[in-house]
Amino acid sequence: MSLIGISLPTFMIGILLILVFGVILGWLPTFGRGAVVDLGFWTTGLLSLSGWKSIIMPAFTLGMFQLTLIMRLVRSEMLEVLRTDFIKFAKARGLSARSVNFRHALKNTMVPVITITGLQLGAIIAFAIITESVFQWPGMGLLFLQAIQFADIPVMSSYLVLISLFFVIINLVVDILYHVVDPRLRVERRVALGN
Amino acid sequence: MAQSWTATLRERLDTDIAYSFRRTPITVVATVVTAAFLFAALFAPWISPQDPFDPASLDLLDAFTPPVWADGGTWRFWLGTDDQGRDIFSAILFGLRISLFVGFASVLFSLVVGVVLGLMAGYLGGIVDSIIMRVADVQLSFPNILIALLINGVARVVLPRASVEDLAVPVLVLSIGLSGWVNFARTVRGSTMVEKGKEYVQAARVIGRPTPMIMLRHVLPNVMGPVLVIATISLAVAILAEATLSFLSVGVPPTQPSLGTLVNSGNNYLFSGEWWIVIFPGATLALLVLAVNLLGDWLRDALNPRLR
Repeated sequence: MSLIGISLPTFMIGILLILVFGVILGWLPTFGRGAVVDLGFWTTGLLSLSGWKSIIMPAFTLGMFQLTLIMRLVRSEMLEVLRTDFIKFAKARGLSARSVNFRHALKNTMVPVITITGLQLGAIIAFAIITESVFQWPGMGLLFLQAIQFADIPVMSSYLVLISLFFVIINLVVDILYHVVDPRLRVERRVALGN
Repeated sequence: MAQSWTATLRERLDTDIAYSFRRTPITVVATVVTAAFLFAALFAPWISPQDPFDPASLDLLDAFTPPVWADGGTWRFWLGTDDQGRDIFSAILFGLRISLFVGFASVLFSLVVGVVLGLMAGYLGGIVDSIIMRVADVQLSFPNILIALLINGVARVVLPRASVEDLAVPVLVLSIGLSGWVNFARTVRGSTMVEKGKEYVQAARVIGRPTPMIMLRHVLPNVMGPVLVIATISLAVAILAEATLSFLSVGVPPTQPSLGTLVNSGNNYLFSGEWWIVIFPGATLALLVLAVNLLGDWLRDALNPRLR
């Protein structure tokens, strides 16, 4: 089931959503970001109804891929964890299946899931290019795509520099989170420091 | 030299693999679907009812014919036609050809680059290892699509404008291939470092075999096993990447459309109700990628000793 989500290209999800909710049902706008409110320092679509309506489909399209990826990750991690000895021990102790699955096994899958989710924030930036192109969202990704088509080097390189900055910050936060989430890493550090 | 990987594979084919293959019906279905797609792509010129590249066979009066079960559909174009009167079914067959070709070629390219670099990093170690692996780390932190887009954009700038269209497919193979070598390199490096310490490598070194020979003839055959699994999964990723780039109209030009280009050109007619131009190529693409992914998933589980 989760494989279907990962096999469906991002742009196909967007096109299907447009076809069903935009063309056939006519519930949601199919392109653009709707009416915007000018706050002087910030123009935002989050304060108008049409702005919220136009963000539903792009947001769903972007989130869909991450959803299936995390599903697959948790599945494979659960398969590995459920084979370990401490799960067998928990079962032998007579704990209920729910308690074993959720309290013992799921907890141990969380470390890689949180790291990968953090790293996937970077992938979201790339998939935003596709999503913005499908929904004609006037964002940075669409600008970059047009820059590629017209071989516009200054725009391409400044986009790249900005994205690299994002990646550095995201990776730093993920590395810090790693130590917050995984107690083993903290123990190792304490051992290394000699206390 | 230890048992070669082909012999190991053949031995496994006799027992475990064949058994787990038979036990998972969905894998059998996926294999059949993939084989059908390969067959359709190979024999596209003979199967397709119309040559979509021959302007003489196109009739503008046939444009926007709906599929056969809708009002106004005919059996001549059972999946409908596009804005040029081109038969969608024939266009899909030919598009499948280009999609699969780009997919296979770019996986082969990243396999060769990745395996060679991974072997060098794992066997030589030291500064070679550091340089290759730092480059790999940098690339790994960027999403594949972004890297492929970048290489594609740079190629557009470097190449003369007139040749961009002719060189679109090689450029595409290069950009997708270069964006995918890291997985191969990391896996091969890992297993090379394990193999390096084994006795047969020491023996080869003692009898004075030159280092490149040891790497290619002795270590390489023993680290190729997992590469097969990664190649299958990479094929799905590469086909998706090609479709995505073509959809963003930086891939294959509309004159020789792949599945992604078909979706892109069909996308313009979505609002006027001609849904079949975009849905059928898209569904073919999704089905193909799903089948390849299923195969790769099964292969990984079947070859993973930890799950047996």
